[in-house]
Amino acid sequence: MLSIHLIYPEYISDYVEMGVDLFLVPGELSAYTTRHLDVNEISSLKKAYPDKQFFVLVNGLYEQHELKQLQDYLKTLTTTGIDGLVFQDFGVLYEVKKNHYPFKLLYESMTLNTNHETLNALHHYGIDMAMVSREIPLTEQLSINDNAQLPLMIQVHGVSYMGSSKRHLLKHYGEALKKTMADEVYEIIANGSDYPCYIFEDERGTTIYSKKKIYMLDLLSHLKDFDYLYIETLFMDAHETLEVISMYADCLQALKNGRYAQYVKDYLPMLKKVSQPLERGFIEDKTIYHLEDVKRRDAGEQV
Amino acid sequence: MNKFKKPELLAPAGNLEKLKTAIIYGADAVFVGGKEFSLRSAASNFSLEDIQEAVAFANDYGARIHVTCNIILHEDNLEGLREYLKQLDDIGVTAVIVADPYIMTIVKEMGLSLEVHVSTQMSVMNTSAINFFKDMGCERVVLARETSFADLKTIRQECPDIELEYFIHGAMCVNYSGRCMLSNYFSRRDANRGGCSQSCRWYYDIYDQKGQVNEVDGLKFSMSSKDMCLIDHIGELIDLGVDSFKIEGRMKSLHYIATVVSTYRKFIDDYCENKEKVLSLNYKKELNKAANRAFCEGFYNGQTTVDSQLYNLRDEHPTQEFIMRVLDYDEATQIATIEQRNYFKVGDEVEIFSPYHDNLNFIVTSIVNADGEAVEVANHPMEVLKVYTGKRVNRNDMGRKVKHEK
Repeated sequence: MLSIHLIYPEYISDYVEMGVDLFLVPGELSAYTTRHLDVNEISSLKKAYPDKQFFVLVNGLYEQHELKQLQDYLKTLTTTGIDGLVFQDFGVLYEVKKNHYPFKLLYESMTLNTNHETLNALHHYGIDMAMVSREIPLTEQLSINDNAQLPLMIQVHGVSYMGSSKRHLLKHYGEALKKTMADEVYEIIANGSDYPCYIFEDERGTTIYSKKKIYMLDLLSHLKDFDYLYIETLFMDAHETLEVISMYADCLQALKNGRYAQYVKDYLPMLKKVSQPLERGFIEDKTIYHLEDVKRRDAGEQV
Repeated sequence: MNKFKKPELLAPAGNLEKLKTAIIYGADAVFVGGKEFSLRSAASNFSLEDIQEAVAFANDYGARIHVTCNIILHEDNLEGLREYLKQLDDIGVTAVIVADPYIMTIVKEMGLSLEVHVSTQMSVMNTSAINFFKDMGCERVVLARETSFADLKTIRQECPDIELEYFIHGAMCVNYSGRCMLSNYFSRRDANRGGCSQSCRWYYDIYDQKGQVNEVDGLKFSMSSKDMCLIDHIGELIDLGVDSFKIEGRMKSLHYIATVVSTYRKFIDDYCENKEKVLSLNYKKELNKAANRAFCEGFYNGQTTVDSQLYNLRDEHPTQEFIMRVLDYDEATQIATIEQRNYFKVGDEVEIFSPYHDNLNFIVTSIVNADGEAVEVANHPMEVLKVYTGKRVNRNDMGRKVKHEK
């Protein structure tokens, strides 16, 4: 099934027509997103498309003083008819189970879903689905999917989350620089690096995403056993979003009718034009962490 | 005289020497990393034999050992985990500090007597999340550094029957722990398995829609944070009934461990003895001697400010130089046998600090090497030397060079 981050709800009829089945919907308590829909908007979407799945992003890490607001919000969401929640704070899981709310729970910890045993353990505690980490090789993503006992989602296209802080890092920097940092989004590039990132701030703090978008259009045949393929539409304009979804939807259809190879050949050059800059992320790249491996790699040796 | 429930003082240690020092200098418990399943891969980390020795040493002092098993497991990290946990349990480790819910689950499933402490990598900041982990059987939650005192107060009131551990001192991740992938993306080093390259402390050029915001030679963008120091608030944290005070720094030096642990030990003991007499200013001066960076109070008051950030390397200051460790002292001659840790010479002023007595100073008037020869300088690391102190010092005291402002 194809799923997307619903940044442009005004285009939902197009997305549905292209075959998107599940929408991750940014709500009032969502984190790491640039759009926030209110409860009425969410409710209307579900009413208009009752056969589609809507999962609201309740994906922040919530502080104690926000707990009441979170509890009230979850209760309100029960009136919208939505299908589920995307979460990472186990306080959300606890509240949903305690109150027997009818939401499916998609565990998206942004970075932590890197083995199947953890997901199976959490399945026992009440999660229904999970997003596999982006920061591991494809072979590991596939291994997790083979061994996990719950439906999994994998990001196939779009920018990657890199970090989030409670601090207002742009505001603080502006104060230090004695400049107003008024833009919605900035770009940063680390000195000595050629890897650009988006950075933006909201009331929850600061969030950093890669500017480069991972793409897996030509790898969909490997991913056919995943239950959900996800397109991150953040930092795409409406046109790019439509084009990208359309290409993935067509290629998925082509997989079924045996014409996938031809579609990839035709679409991949188009994708590279429409959705820039692209990268493979960690698909073929393993991270290291032992000090000895770091030293060996820095010395130019094979790790 | 006031009587309070004393919190546990929990210290870090990157090797056995640091662990023993932490305990001698007053830690109630020490957290260490094993060779596997632990963050901070750059720390020396402990073999099972080391952990066994650590437990035996701690037992002699009535202290406890917590072992960090706080990596985020990947598929290839799963093997050997159960055996490792069983071995830690057999050795007599008190607790494992865990970030991965799978590890929490199997410790309980295996019926081990190890306590499970939920790592700060889980970023727990609210009572509902705490209740989730409590229901899983976890004995303690290490709260996220982002937790304010106001929130901590509510959490303590609403969760009286689970232990709460709170960071009081040390370096701060700028991002939510466990949710930061900067190192992974910039250097392919996995932060969640101990390989963090500290990319948040790098300099960045920053751009808006019009172009570069920072001038080429001007103030660069950085996310780097000052270090946390809550010495001014220890009293109210004791009053609140926080169970454990955590000091960060498994990769920090022996000097840092000894200074920070002994300072907080003295503060806690003094406060619990007579809170009216304690002035945090004096303790802060001592902590500054081992500080790598300027201090801030993190999120204690809710949100950080521009003053919590490090944009300039001038704000990173070197610690006072650690030059000797006392191995023995001869009362009759007033000569200490010491182990050299950094260069010093005749004429230098030394400040001795100790878990047993207040700081004292002396001028180095003579240095004698192992061959009985008088030398002017001590410039061989770990060389055993004899130094006339003129004052009583103790085994395990440490000496730092006094720097006089010019």
